[in-house]
Amino acid sequence: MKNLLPLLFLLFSIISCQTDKPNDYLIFNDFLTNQVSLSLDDSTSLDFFFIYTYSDSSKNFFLSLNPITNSVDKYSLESCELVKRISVPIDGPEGINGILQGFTYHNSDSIFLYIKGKVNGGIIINDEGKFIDRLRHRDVDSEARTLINHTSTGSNPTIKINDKLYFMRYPLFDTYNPSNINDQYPLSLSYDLTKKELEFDSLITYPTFYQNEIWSIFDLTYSRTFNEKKQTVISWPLLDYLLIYDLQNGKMSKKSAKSILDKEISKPYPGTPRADQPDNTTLSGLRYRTIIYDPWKSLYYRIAVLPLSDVDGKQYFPNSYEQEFSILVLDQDFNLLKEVFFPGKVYNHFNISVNRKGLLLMKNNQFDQTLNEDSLRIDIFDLSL
Amino acid sequence: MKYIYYFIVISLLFFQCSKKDNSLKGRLMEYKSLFKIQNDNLLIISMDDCSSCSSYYKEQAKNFQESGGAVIVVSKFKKKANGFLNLKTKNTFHDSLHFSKKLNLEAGLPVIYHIHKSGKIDSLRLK
Repeated sequence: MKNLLPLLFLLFSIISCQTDKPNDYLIFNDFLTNQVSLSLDDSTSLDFFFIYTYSDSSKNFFLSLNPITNSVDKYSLESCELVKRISVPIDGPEGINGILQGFTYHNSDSIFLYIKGKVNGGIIINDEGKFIDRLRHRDVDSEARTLINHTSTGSNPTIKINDKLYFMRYPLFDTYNPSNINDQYPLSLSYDLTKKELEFDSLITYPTFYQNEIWSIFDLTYSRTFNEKKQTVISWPLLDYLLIYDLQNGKMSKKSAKSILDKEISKPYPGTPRADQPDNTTLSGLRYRTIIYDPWKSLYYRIAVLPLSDVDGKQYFPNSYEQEFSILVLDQDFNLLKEVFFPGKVYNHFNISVNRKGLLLMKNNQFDQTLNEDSLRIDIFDLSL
Repeated sequence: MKYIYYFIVISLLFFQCSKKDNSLKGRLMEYKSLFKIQNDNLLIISMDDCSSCSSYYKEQAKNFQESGGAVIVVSKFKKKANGFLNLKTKNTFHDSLHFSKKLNLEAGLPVIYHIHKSGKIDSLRLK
């Protein structure tokens, strides 16, 4: 009996360390259809924060904003080579004149480059790096309408639809003052390229669940995507459903999109949290992140980042890269088709994109001990299989 | 077998009892010794937390170096750190394993530490 104790202890330890996945859970490898490896020169860092994917009639491209060379780097996903380095004008009358933050590669004639914290002042260049125009809206004297914490990242891109650029914005106020978490602060806006006007979207604000409460700062940022039905679909970290806004009639609806591992309802803080509390709260709970619409397969992908077991002394950045995650696959009517599980410390769950080839997951996770800085490996998945 | 058991227990107790200096000064000294930094003026810049801050950080880093301080660039990615600030430049160090975070010396924003001869430490977080 005495000899059995260590064995029992070991078994207990193993069982308690496992996440509560069902026995027949789906694993990423079964959906892997292609792998590419992009060669990186000495002026290209592996972190690839601002990315964009673009497909024309025959080719697929992976683009990134390179802060070392101040350029938009265009990689072919067929040849895996850097096919073009498009210089971003920095100074002078045609320069960006500010800190670059994000871009939209609409097509070879229209590359939108954004300034940190502003819509005004962004520039449009073409594939040759030639200046085309500057974003300049009318009411630039109003700070409330000019200081805009837009995101414009790979997973939360600024999108051009017809003559409008659709921006998401994150808060710039005291997020631990619960009265700021209300239904009055528009979290989305658009810039009309013809009229040169900004329009704040009063429909997209903090959802009722969040309002007048104190939450971890890392749970206050949302993700959104657009479909062909002129709808915008929003994923909030703490909501086990998606919010669907109809841009034509202004109506909002909810559709369940819940992970099989989501078993806990988050509670707000009773008061201002300690400095390390938000990191611990967010890392130790399941959080929904990016929502992506795949127009080629008419599917939605919702990322659920799974709890980290040991969060002591850890920070959301960079330790979130350690977290396992799953991707919920929903059809065009938001029926949940499957949930596929991915390992932690391998992929970059912050920056997932889609193109005609499938769902692109970069293998540039900073906790991956096998990282090679001379190439970016991208795994391409077909989750419709 | 019995002696091995005692040896393991005593070793464990020994490791648990050997106290680390967890004061700010102790952590800074540990950080300095990791990179063999002699300078008592340090600017720690984490590059992996803010993707669009590099040009602002670069300006701050150059100014700090010109005033004689040492800059530690915290980034997992060597090319990024080197593209930001030539790592061969004097008084430039690369913390690729985020020791600054493990030692709780920075939490995203760049921070300056000045260690006085008396042992007093001034710190300033840049925004």
